[in-house]
Amino acid sequence: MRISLNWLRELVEISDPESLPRRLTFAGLEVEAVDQLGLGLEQVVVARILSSVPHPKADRLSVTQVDAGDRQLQIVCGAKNYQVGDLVPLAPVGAVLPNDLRIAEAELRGVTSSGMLCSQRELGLSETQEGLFILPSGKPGQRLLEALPIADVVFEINVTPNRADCLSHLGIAREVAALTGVALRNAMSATVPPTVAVPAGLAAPRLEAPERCGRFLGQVLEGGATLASPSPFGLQARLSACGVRPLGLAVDVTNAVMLELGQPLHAYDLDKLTHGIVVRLARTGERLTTLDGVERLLDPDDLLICDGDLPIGLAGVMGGASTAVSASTRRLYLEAAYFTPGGIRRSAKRHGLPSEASHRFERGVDPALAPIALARAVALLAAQLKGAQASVVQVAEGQLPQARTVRLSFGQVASLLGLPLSPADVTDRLASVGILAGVVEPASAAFAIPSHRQDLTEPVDLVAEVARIGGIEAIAPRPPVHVLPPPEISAEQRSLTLLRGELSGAGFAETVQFSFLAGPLADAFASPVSAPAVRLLNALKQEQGALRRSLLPGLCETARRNLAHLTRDAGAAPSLRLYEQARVYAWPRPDEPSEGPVSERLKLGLLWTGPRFPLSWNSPREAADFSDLRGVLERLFGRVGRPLRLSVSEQPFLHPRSAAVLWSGDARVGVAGEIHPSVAQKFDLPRQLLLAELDLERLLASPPLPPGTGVPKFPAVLRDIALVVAEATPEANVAEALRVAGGELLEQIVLFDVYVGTPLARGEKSLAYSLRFRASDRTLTDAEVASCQRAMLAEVASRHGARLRA
Amino acid sequence: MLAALQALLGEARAAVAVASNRADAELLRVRYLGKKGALAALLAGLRDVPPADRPAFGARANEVKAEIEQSIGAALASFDQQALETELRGEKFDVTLPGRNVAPLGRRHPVTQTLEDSVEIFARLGFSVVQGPDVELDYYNFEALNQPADHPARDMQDTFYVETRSLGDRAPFGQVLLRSHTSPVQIRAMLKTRPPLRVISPGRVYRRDDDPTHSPMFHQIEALYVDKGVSMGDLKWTLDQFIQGLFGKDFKTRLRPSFFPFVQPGVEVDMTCTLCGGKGCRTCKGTGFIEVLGGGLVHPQVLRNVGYDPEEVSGFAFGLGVDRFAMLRYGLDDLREFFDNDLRFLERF
Repeated sequence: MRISLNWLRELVEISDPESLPRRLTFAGLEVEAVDQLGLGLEQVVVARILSSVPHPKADRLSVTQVDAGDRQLQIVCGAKNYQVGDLVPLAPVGAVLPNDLRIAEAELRGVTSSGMLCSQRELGLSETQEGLFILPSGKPGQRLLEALPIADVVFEINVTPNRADCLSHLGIAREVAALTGVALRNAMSATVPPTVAVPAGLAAPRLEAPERCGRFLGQVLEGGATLASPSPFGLQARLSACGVRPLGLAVDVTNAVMLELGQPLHAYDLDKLTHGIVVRLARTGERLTTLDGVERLLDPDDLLICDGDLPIGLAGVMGGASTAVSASTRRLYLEAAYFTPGGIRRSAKRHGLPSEASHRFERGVDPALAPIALARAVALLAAQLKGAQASVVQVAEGQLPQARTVRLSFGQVASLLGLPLSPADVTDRLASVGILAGVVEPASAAFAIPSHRQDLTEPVDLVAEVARIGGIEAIAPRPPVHVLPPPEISAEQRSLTLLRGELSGAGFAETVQFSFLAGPLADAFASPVSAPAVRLLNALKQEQGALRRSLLPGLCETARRNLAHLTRDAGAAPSLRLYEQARVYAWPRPDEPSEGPVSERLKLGLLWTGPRFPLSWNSPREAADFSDLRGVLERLFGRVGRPLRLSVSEQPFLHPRSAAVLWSGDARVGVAGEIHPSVAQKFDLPRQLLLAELDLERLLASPPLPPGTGVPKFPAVLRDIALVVAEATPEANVAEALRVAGGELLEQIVLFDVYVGTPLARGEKSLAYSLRFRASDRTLTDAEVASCQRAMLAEVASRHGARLRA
Repeated sequence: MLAALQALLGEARAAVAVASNRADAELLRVRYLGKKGALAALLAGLRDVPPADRPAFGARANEVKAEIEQSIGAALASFDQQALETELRGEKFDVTLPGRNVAPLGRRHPVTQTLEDSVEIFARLGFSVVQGPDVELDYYNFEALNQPADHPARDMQDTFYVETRSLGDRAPFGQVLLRSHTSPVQIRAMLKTRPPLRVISPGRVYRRDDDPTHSPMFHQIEALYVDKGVSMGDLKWTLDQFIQGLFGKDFKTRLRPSFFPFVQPGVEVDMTCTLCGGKGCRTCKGTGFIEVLGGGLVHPQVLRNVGYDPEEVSGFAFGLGVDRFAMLRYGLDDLREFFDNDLRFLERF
């Protein structure tokens, strides 16, 4: 809300305007900016045009002689909208205009020009007004700022949605009065006595939806031919200062009253009304063309102002085009009403029509204000229009909000604010904002809520008022008095921190991607069995149109963008290790439990491309491969005490050669592999790109490994064996068979060599294991170890056809 | 005879002193201490010594043997030391070469770092972490927080909505949206627990904004404390502790009245400007303070909505933007950089 200091001063005395922004801000009315109007116009003076002749060499220019008070000047001018004798603003030589234009003596096509005659736009007074600014008053040589009420200070105030009462100069003036301890000025003019009748055919207003329209007031004003003529400059300046465009007297006055008092008004062309006002809900299929020329299909929830049965306005939002005030309007029908906030908001939202009126109505206009504002508008119009006459006020009453009292306990004020306030402190502070106590009892009092404070409905609202008026800065910090059990840090929370630490150690950089990602790349990572994606109704961009079901496409996209500059800057094969720990989203499958409406799972996504080691003089230059990725996975699983197992599995986005499902015990906890070459090619990614995605919730829910048994009391027996199996046999299966047959005595098994080639047959490979045997209660004999080893060999022979390598 | 022993000692010492290498020194050991060496020869003459002098002679002979032994041993050790040093000096290595780099330095995202630090400070202040869904029902995000359907405060944030029509019968009841703040977790936490409770809820939030200071996704931490007798003083103390924990002891907070539908009284919280330290600069418009978060006492309607009795308990709540705090900590001015994930940016932290 833009508040003009000049205007405010008509309503309340302001002795120290400099301190006003701070005082208002600390009373909850944040002054976001202070605009100085008229700044930079100090050197502009009033000049009278004495003569004007066409420029001898330029058709579009004129040569004028002007009276600038103490001197006469010749000025070349491009405008056409003036007459000899007009008063206009003159920027003399040496002046600097608000747009930084410095005026110098100039020669235009051979004619000397000693200054510039200005438009409102050039003076920074209007965005649109071209042509010379023809001044309504002033005398040659007078400073423009003295001749016209241009200089002003405008406070841009962020009025919070609860403070409907502060969407006007009166509301802000009330706050200033309360904060500075001065009284409001009575700025209301005398009412205009009724001297004309309401036209005979025009029935009294009828409210068919009294729950939506609490009160409707209408009054006829006969104004004559100048109703739509431009308003006096002072009124225009006020409106412009508040950011409202002047449109002609009738509309300007209704706007000015709204800005002054907070009551939106509407002016109809009386001669376009025939039956009288009916306020009712719209019918299905009904249409109305609003002032902006748009034909709108109405909803049965829309409240209408009708002339008889014909809709002529969307109540509280925007008037209709058919009854709008125009240049030919001679007589007005002025409306001042109270509309129920919720309905106005629904209509404004539905039709995408946030107007100054709906903004106020949906927040709650003072129900007592309509008659006052109507009288004010009529008085202002009558003052401008010679011979204007008004009718009596037509009134229809619906369900107006009732006057309210709120009982407040003084103890509650003190305990909630942590301030030792006496009952007198409380009642005084509330009285300063017009909230008056009835009978004050020792512990509490009933307070009458003024009609303009529809936001105050319960005791805590008064507590807030007390805090606001007294200065919330007075509240002193106080450590909590009650001791609560120490906070819980969940195992999951700890594990997530551990995983991030481990990833830092493994050289991975954490990324944070948007939760939404849609498009071909995202689709490439979905499988036919994926749960349906969650789509947004109002995404900002198409590529943000759905919530992601995997972290991997986002990581790939980030990799692609980073590789572009890394390749350019690094020369050598760029290295990238990225991860993200975040949620993915999908509609839950039937019976799938989820806390919110959507299934959200916490995942860890990993991406690794480029060399195994950073470029260095003593490290081999080899690309990272699946084993490197698996090594990282083993560290991560180990860090949170879970056993990692892989099984061969195909995924549409992974290379069929290296694609695996990750398991912790019996829980399937993720996938890992190398990107599918066709996905890599399609999305401009390197082929050697490793990916893994873990479901952290499942991983951390799976049983952890048992703790170790401590320092052994008996010695270990070490044995190495080399087995020959078919090349296609997964190593994990061989190791698993050895482990099963080795039983409790087999303490550790480490694969230390894989070999393919002569003297082995084609299609064979050799796996060499280092085995460690130990018993917890005795020293093992050679015979025991040999028997155990035989059992292991028998098992791998029967399961996988393995034989000992000779 | 004693004189002969003394002479032998003198001769041996002189010989050790001139020995020039290990082999020479080894030879001296044979010459003086060997079975057929000079000392043995002298001892062979023991029978010529009068019996009364024999003990003294024997003792002296042992001393002389030990001294020669020690003198030759020292010479040998010295030659060994020289040999080792010569050998070591022959080995060449440039210790100033770069080390073997196994992996680049991994980094946590600056927002994560700020989030972890914040959570740790809150843990010290007694707040447990609770989580809630990113995709919410209108009820938790607005309605239960005292923002019914036609409440104008809904304009304060532009919300993303989720398409549910295609789900048909399986569509959830009520509008589904991306939470516009972490406040719905207040409701979920209070519905699960009876007071007292002291919780924070960190997480992602979403608003339809995209410019240098707004991102369609960002992070908040919601803090909630409900107990008997919680006042604005508790709120102020907790805010002070948090801000000083994150930024340092010199940073102050300042409360200003404001409005959020789910608190009353509501406050905007300003803190000492991080750029000028409170002296006043362009960033803080000369005030020395910058606006950092909003909060207040939990609105009694919110307490009633979760079945708490506002006559019995009161509480405070506030929500802070983690990304905004990260920007202040690291002196950044474009929020969107956090989500570009450009490695050159991430490597700064």
